[in-house]
Amino acid sequence: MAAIDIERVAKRFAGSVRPALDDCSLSVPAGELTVLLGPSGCGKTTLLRLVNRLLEPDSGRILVDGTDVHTLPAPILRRGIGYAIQQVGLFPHLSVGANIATVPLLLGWEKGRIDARVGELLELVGLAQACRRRYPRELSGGEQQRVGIARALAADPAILLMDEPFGAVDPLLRARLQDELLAIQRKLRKTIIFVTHDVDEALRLADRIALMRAGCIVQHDAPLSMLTAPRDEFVRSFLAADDVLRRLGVTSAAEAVVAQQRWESASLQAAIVPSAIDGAPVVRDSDSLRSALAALIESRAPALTVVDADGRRLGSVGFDDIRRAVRS
Amino acid sequence: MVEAAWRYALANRAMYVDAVTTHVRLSLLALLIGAALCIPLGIYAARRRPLWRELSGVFNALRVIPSLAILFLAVPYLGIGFLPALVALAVLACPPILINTEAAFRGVDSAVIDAARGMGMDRRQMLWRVELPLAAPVLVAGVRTAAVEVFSSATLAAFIGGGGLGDFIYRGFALFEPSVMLVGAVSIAVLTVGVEGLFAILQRALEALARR
Repeated sequence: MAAIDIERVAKRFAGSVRPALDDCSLSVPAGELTVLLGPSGCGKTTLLRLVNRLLEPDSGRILVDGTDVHTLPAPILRRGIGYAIQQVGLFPHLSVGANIATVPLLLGWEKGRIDARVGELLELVGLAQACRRRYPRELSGGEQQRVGIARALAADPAILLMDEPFGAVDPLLRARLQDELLAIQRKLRKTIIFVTHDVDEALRLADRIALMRAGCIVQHDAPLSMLTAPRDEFVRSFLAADDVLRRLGVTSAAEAVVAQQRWESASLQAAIVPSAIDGAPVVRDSDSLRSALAALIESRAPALTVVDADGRRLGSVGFDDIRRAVRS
Repeated sequence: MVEAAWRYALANRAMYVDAVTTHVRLSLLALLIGAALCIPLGIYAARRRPLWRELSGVFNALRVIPSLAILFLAVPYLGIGFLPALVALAVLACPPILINTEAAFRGVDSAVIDAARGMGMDRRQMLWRVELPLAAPVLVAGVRTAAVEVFSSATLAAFIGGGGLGDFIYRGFALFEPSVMLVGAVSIAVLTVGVEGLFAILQRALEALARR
């Protein structure tokens, strides 16, 4: 666990009139996935690269768990921070196993420990153990990206920096890799900074989004709050916050149950929803309302049943409840 | 005539072996000096593009000066014999090695470099574990070009008293004896082609290692 505090950093590249970063502050909570979102050229990659000192700020400072990153020599600092990029950058002359072992080797782990760790990581990112001896060129784009993520996680860093890691893969594969990243994150609880310009990707992955424009952070909030309470017109239009489907995507089925109960107590009448219907579709409370709505439409039932992780029934929600949940 | 050449070589075996040894030693030393100077310089140039823009002009100009001229230009400063021949040949070896080294290091995928830095390799680790293995095929191709030039141009060393297989051509010419010239010419050709072949094999092996 490691929190990252970015304090009033500024950065201007030589030969550029506008600063890349203009007095940026951002506090990244430990164990959360924070997405840096914004149009290209807004400074999100620059901000990311300041954290592991691939770039140095002109002013301001960056703290990891309260310690200024400048107190460590850059290579030592970087060995403690995972780093994954869009082009992956696997070493073409080294096997997959050797690629993954890069940081453990730099840290001087002994061979047995490295071998065991490489095995664990292949498993974690869903690659066959036989991949270990293959070479990057022999892998598909998706497999290469998985190796890149395994390599970033190899020495079990508390922090992971990801710069548009899924930017170059096709949409179908991107969705799969996003799901896998979420599953890995649920297990490992790393402090992740994830750069993207893809709004849907940000809404899908983020615990919090920091939306940037022209070197400044415009709004830093949970995805749902960004959509329901955009700070200004730029945030509203960049996120297309008025898009109902988008809101459905970031609202959980549990919210519909809450919306239903709130409406019931406000209007002093029971919702006209049959309490338990045979054959009604069942969704998890953590599922998005988008998929709940899809299930509802497909089943032709008037309502669906929402259950929690243990399968306990939380309630039944119909179209009206879904509408209430996203129109708040 | 071939038979006459063969007989001449056998009759002067000691002299022949001596000439081959000198030729090879002269060429290899020149290559080694060229590589020792130009590989580090090429790596440095690849990291400093403005410097390279200055340097590349100089070295390309150097390439068009005939090797014989370089050889004779060394004489006023270094006299005659092995040393001026060595210096001239080393200068001859420089352009292809320098140009290829720079291109090889500039050609390493910037994403790979970024990943290596981002994972915490220091300068030296990046050079030895990433850049050099990936640059090696193109770098060796430069040394191969230089080797061909040096081994064939070492013939000219005979003109300034540097020895080597050129002696036979020089002598054959003076004696009006084509068979003596043939001893030198064929040996030089075989030697040069052989050396090029060796470097070609090395280059291909490195390519296989670098781009699996």
